[in-house]
Amino acid sequence: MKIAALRTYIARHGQRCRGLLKIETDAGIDGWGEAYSIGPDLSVPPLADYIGRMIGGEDPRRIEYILCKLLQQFRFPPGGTGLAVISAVDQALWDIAGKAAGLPVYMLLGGAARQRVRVYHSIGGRDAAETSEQALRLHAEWGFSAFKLSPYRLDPESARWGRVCAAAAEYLEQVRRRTPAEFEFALDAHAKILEPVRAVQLAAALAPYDPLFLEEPLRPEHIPAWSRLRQQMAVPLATGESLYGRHEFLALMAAQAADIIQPDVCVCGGLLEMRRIAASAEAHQVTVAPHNPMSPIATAVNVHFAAATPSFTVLEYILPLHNEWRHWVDEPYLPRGGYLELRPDRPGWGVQVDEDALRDNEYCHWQRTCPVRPDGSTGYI
Amino acid sequence: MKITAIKSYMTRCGQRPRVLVKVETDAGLYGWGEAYNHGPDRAIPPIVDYIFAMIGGEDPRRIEYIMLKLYQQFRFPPGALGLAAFSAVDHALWDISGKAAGLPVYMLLGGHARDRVQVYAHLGGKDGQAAAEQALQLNADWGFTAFKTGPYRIPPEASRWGEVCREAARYFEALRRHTPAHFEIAFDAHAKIFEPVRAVQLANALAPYDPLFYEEPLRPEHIPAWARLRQQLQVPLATGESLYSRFEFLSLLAAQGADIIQPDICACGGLLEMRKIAAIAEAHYVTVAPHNPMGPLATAVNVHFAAATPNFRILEYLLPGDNRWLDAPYLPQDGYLQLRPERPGFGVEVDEEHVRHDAYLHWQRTCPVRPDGSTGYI
Repeated sequence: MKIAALRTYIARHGQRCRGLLKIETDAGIDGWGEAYSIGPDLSVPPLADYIGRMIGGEDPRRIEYILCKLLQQFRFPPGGTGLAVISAVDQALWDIAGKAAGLPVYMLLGGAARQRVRVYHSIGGRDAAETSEQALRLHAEWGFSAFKLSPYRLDPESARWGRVCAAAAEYLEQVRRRTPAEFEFALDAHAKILEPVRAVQLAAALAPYDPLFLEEPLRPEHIPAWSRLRQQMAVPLATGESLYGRHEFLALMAAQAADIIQPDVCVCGGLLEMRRIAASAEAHQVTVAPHNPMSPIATAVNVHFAAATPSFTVLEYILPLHNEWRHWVDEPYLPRGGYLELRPDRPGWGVQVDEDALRDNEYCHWQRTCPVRPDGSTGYI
Repeated sequence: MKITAIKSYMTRCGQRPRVLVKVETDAGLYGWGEAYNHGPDRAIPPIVDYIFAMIGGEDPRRIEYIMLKLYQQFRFPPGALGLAAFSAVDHALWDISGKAAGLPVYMLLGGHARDRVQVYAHLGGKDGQAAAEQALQLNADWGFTAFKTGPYRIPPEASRWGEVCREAARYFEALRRHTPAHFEIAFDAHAKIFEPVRAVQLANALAPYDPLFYEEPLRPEHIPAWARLRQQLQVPLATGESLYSRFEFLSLLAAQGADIIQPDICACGGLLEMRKIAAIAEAHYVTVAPHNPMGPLATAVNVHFAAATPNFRILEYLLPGDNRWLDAPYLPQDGYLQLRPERPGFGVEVDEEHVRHDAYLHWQRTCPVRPDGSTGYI
C-alpha cells in the first residue's frame, strides 16, 4: 500500500477553524487527522503539501519510519505549527493502519486496557449558582461527573492577588455546596501567573475544596519554576498542553514538576509521540489527562489513546452538538454515564468523516486578545 | 508612527527559498527582515499575515511591547515556523526604529562595543589538502582566517566509528599542515551522533589539532546529555542553531552544557530575543558565535548584533554570490565586516522590484539511509 495524496481542509466551526487532513492511498483506504489550531491556520495547507512531497509513495502503515524520517528531514524541532500538521499526518496514518487491518486503532496499540473512557467538560457561568446549574444539567443529560472551571472570579490583571485567591476559594466552596459530593472539579489557571509564588497562594486557597487538579498556573517554558511549585503545592499539579514532544515532557517529569500531564494529540506530535510520552510518564508515576478542546475527530483519536494507555485518567471533552462539528463525522463519540464507549466493531478511529461537509468552508480569522493591565502593558490570555 | 502593512516576498538564496518581510508605516518609513528557511517556507506568509492582523496600527518602535504581545497572543510557544516569521518582523521593526532615529541599529542597543566583526567561512574539498587550498584562496581574496568544515570524511552511517574518528583526525592534521598556524578551524558534527559517547571519541580525535570549536555533535532536545558531554571534552563545545528563545538557551546554560552558543537571529525570535539570550550567556561566561547560513540581509542584522554585544565571538558568513536583491551586502575586509556608522537602520537596502517576482523553489533535506534501511539525521 502506498500514500497517494494528502488533502487539507480549513474547516470552520463557529468563529474558529481547524486544519483537517486526509491521506489517500492507492488501495482506496483513506485516513483522517486533525491539526491543532495555534492561530495562523492558513499555514496548515502549505505545510501539508511540503510533507506530502516527503512521504508520498511510502507505505502508510510504517508509521514509526515515516514520523522519524519527517523529524529527521525537518532537522529543526518543528514547534507548534509544524507539529500540529505532523500530528494530523500521524493520526491519518493510524486511521489507515487500523482500517487496513480491519481493527480499531487501540487493537494495534496492545489492545484495550479499559472498556470505556471517562470525560470531563469545561463549564462557565457568571457565579457559583450558574456554574452549578450547568454541572447538574450536564450530569443529568450525559452523566458527566467531572468538570473544569476557571479560578478567576476577579480580574487577575487588576485586582489585589489575595482577593483573587479568596474569590476563587469562595466560588469553589459555593459550587461544592450546590453539587453532589462525588463530582470532580478541576481548575484551569491558563498560564497567566508570572510570579510562581502567586500560584502557590492560589493553590492553597483552593486546596480545602479538593480540586481534581490545578492546571497550568505558570508559563510552560521555565521548568525549574514548575519543580519548585509542585514541592509547595498540596493539590495535584497538571500541565502539558503547551509542551511538545517526548523531550519536553521528559524534562518536566525528570524535574518532578507535575502530578498529571496533559499532552494534546493534535500538537505534541501525534498518537505515536503521545504514546511515548505516556510511557515516560508511567515510569515517573505520573498520569495522563489529555488536553482536548478539539473536534470529534481529535476526540476519536483520544479515545483510542485512552483505551490503550494504562496511565490515562480522564479526557477533556466538548460536546460536538452546538456548531459545525455535528456535521463533520457520522457518529461522534458521545458520553453515556460520563464515559465514551469503545467501538470494537469499527476499524480505524471508528468515525466516518463527511468530506462534503468540509468543502467550501470559508476561512475565518480568529485570534486571542490579550488582557491589558492598568498601566497599558499586556498579559497572557 | 503606525504600522500600515506587512508584506512577504518569496525570493531565493542560491537553490533555497527565502522569505523576506517588509513592514510599512504611515510615515513612509519601512523596514526589512529575513525569515529562517526551514523548508516549508510557503507556510510563512500566512503566519506573517496573521501577525499583521494583531499588530497593524501599533507604533513599530515599541518593539518590546509588540514582540511580547505576539508571544502572548500566540500563547503556544510558536516553534520553528512561527519564530521564523516573528524574527523577520522583529528585524523590520528595528530597521524602522534605526531609520526613524537616523541611526544604525547598533546605536539603539547601547552603541558599538567593537569596531568590526570577525567572520568565518565554510570549507569543502575532498581531502585536507583541497580544503587547505580553499582556505588559502579565501584568505587571499577576503582575508578570512577562520573557517568551518565537516568532520565526516567517510559515511558515518555505514562505517565503524573508530574509523570515522581516525579519518577526521587525518583530515584535520593535513589541513593544519597546509595552512598557516594562526588560522582558526571549527568542526560541525551537525547533530548526527546518537550515542553521546561517540561525540566524545570524535572530539578527542580532533583535539590534538586545536579546533576553534566543536559544533552540535548531538541532537538539541535532551539537555542532560549536553551537560555530561561538556564535562568530558577538552575542546570548546558549541551549539544553538536548533534552540529557540531565552528559555531553551537558559536550560542549556544553567546545565553548563556549552562553551559557545550559536543562536540564529532569523530563527530564535529575532534581534530582541537574541540580545536577551546573549545577556544570559554573558552571565554564564559563555560567548555567542551566531549561526548564519542565511542571506545578506540576515548578515546585516547580525552585524548590528555583533557590534553591540560584548560576548559576541565570531559570525558565520556566506559570500553573497550572485545575489541581486540587496544593494550593498556587507563584504569582508581582512576577514572582518566593517560597521556603517553613516547608514541608518541595518545599513542595507532591499531592491523591492527584484523580489516582487515569486521565486519559490522546493528544497528539502535528504536523510542518509543506513545499511539496514532505516534513516538517519542529515
